[in-house]
Amino acid sequence: MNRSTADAARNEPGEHRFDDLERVHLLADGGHILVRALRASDRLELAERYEELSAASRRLRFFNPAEHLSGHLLDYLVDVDGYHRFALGAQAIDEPAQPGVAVARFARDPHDPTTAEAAVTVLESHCNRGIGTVLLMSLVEAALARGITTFTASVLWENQVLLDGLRAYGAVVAPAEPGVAAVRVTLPRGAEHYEESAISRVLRTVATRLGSGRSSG
Amino acid sequence: MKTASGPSLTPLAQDEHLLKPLLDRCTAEPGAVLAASRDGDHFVDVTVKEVVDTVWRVAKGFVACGVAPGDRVALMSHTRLEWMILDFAILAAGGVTVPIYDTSSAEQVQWIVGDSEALLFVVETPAMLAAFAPARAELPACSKVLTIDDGALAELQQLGENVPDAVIDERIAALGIDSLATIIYTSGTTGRPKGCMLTHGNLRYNAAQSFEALGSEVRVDDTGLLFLPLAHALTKGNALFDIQTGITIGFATDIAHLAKELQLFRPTTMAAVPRIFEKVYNAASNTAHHERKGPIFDHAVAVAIRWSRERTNGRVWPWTAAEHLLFDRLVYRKVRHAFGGRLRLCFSGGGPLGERLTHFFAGVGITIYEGYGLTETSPALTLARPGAWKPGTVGRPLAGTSLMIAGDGEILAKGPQVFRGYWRNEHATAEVFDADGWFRTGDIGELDDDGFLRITGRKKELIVTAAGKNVAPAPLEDRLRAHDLISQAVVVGDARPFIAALITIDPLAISDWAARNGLGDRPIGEVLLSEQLDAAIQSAVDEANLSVSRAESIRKFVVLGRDLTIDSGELTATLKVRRAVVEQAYAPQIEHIYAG
Repeated sequence: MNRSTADAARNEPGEHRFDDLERVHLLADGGHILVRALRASDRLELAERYEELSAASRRLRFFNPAEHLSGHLLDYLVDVDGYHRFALGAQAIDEPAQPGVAVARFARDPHDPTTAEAAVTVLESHCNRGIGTVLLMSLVEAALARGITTFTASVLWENQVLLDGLRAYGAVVAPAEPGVAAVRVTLPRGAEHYEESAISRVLRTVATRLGSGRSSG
Repeated sequence: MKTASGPSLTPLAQDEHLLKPLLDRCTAEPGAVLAASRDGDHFVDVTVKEVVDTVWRVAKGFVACGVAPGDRVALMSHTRLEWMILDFAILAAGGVTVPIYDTSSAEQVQWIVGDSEALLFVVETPAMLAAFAPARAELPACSKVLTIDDGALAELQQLGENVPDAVIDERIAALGIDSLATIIYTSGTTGRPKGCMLTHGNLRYNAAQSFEALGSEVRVDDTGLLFLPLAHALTKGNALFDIQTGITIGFATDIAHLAKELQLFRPTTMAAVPRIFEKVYNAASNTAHHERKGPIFDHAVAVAIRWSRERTNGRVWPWTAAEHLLFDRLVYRKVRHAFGGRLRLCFSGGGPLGERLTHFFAGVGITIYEGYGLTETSPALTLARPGAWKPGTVGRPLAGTSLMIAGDGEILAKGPQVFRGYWRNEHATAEVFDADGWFRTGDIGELDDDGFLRITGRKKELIVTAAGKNVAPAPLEDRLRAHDLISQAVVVGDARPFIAALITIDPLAISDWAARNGLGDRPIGEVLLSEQLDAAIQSAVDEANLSVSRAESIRKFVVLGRDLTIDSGELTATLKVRRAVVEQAYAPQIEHIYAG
């Protein structure tokens, strides 16, 4: 893990500062990604990357996905406050255009401030690189620092690989509506344990499997 | 993990096959009535020997057309005597029947005939033949198409005249429980329909299992009206059960004529889907209320349910018994009359019937045995039975069947009726069997302490209509959203008579569209209600419907005044659609769709 200097992103004025998570990560294949907070200025790129997702990936991520992300959905996706609504993006900084290749986010449950709904998306062209793992670990770290102890997720039952991965490490998986499983994962109590905790192994496993291109959370 | 198993089951000999019960019966009582078909205002009987002789001649025709053991023959027709004859003839020629619903779309037909590599295709009507014509050039494996209404059976019999009987004897002698009998295509949640491979053994076992459960209820003079598609595993299983037990099969002509044909044929047994029972109940209720006898009817319903519940619990209280007797003359007799007046034994499957309705009909004098299963399980895994009848559950596992509830609530099954896999789709097959060979049903359920199964949910994103049709909403929604004007589409219809769609309009696209269509000066609310928009959305719906059969098609839609939002809970915080919340939020609109 190397600290980025050259491409360090600046938070917009007035936004919560959460550039503590901004890091360059070395991937197993020798490539580098910059993990940083998603910004309002990422709106256009987010719309473009959505178009690159395959129909299967869109379905696993959004269930009933729109053809194009509408203006208000895009607004919502970049409208993060860094505390209740939090999103990280990953940029492939070895490529000339340094494109965004993955997003991970959580949104705090308004009725239970210790719980947040989480999701991650990795572009198929960058799967199998461990990007999902890195993003998820950063997301957990950020969540713990913001008082969140539980992640929830709605996952299609057909996303069996992801569910198996989560379940293997104690996630509770319960039926929701037809086709959909409700998943709850308890995050470790202290961030200091996180590197070696069960959850980190879960995330590593899940992200590896995400990389197979069959699923995105 | 909770498990339950049915009673033990006598294994079938290795050389058993689906024709055996028919041939055995032909030897024992050739003149017995096997089935009856409608001719004017009568049902005309046909004997076992007449059917077997025709099956033999048609089978020789299939051989003459080049059908070799294992070859697929597709059959697209509604339920009729000729369907049964053709099916048995295909099997007698050593072939494999690939049934296609008579309501299937041209796209579905092309896919099924192509994927199964059917050598022959028998269609019912000239219209079906015409609809298939454009696809034919792309399906070189399909060498011949015959039309039932244009004399397919006669043509096949003529073609087979020079084929010696011994050829059919040899083909039948080569059949065994492991021989493939049929490939039934079912919709997945996404992608193309998959072909379930069912063997002679799968289907024979399921008939034997059903007989073990309900055989004691069957009487020598029982008759059963067949009106659901024989392409559906439930109806096919029902027909095989009838043949094995000696129940005379009546072939209804069309579900639209069911009310009349129930009076003409007056069956004592019937296999149906919940929708049929709901329809009879609703019709009786509406008639009573129309005649200002609503309160009497409602009270009669309450008494029937109470009577059935008390009887199930072992004691009917005298007051209940007295009221029950009174209403029997006033109300229940009329309900029984709607089914022809003799109906006694019913089987319901394909979807949940509901505890209340089951008790009501039991109170009326019609016992409905509910079962559960899938095409992949030939189809029944569980069945209620005398002495083990618990409305609200789908009964206990059939003989030789084991069920297990997995950690996530999924119902897993093992038994001789479980299929061998999907046709040429090892990936899909591997997905539905776990490492220990348990078949994953995709349904979620609970086993109680007495071994009764209750279905509580579904892992597959499927809608099951009241008619028992499994419909995958995702492919339909994908097609709808491909239209410029449509932002979101949510297909509904679970436990409802047909499929409908809730549609939201893309706020950007609608402005341009309104301007182009001369509505640019109208308020958006008015544009959303305009006939022009309705027509534009209808064209998108028609386009989506091209991919599905009539039973799966969107019959009605409603355009919602706004897009789905996170604030309303219709989308989760990470923008996933919550169908249940959408359906709740738009309950009045949905009710309006189904009331109209």
